[in-house]
Amino acid sequence: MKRLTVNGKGVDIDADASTPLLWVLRDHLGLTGTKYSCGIGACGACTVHIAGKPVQSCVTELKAIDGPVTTIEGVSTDRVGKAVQEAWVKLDVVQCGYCQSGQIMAATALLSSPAALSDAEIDAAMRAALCRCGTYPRIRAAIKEAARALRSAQSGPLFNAPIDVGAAAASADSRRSGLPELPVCSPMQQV
Amino acid sequence: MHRITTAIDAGSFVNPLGAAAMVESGVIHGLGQALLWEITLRAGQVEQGNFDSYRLPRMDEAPAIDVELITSGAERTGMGEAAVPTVAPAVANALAALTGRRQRRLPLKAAPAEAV
Repeated sequence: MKRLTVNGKGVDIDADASTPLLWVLRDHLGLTGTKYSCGIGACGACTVHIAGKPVQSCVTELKAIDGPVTTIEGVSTDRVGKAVQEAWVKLDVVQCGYCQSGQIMAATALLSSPAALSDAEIDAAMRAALCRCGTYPRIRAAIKEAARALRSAQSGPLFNAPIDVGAAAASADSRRSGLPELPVCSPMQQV
Repeated sequence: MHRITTAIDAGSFVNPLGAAAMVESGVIHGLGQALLWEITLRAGQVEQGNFDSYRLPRMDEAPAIDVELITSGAERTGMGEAAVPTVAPAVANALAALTGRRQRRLPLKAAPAEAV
């Protein structure tokens, strides 16, 4: 039996000490928002937070958990997590959705650290999270939107101001999509 | 791969933000097809068993993507995966222009062993 804190609640887990956190969450606690995908820590779909740091829960054993766990079900109680979710909705990031719990957890961990947010830092922090639908450009834009919203919230009145992309893109007559300039990134590594 | 510029005429767009997302993600998909996706056989068995050996594009490999939505007023068409098949030929042409050697197989290689 191991005592954990999951999304702010204390829970006792009766499972083998080597049980991956992913299955503790899904099978023992019914928190199925965290997804199983590769099972070897290679895709990021199962990302949750332990003490605010992103971990791949499929390769994190129960006995190794040394801090409070936050999952996609609990992330919106955090102001950064809420800002990330709102940016995801505003920019319509999600397509099939399977990887997106992990994407949101990775993005929330990134934006929770006080470091500056260069494209290279976004890429480094999000590189572990695969998206087969290819929503990366939208994820990158949404992370920047969430960062902007968080900065505005700190300085006051602009928090709920509409973003440019929705208004511009909503104009169906426009020949331009009105999408924000996307950053230029490192080249594909194999070419 | 630094930037890909696209244009699509689907007649008119009910949801421009979603339509542009279809193009952006189609480009990422197409880049995987052009540069990464590869299933190889060894002694009759597929060598790639998971995402550690089967490469998909990752965040740091997603280029800047320009999306131009053209509203011609023609009859509406679908948007699903429309961008995907345009990417590999465009990248192959760009590589041929850059290197002077034309590749005929996917995924494209940095140093083609059997360039034609």
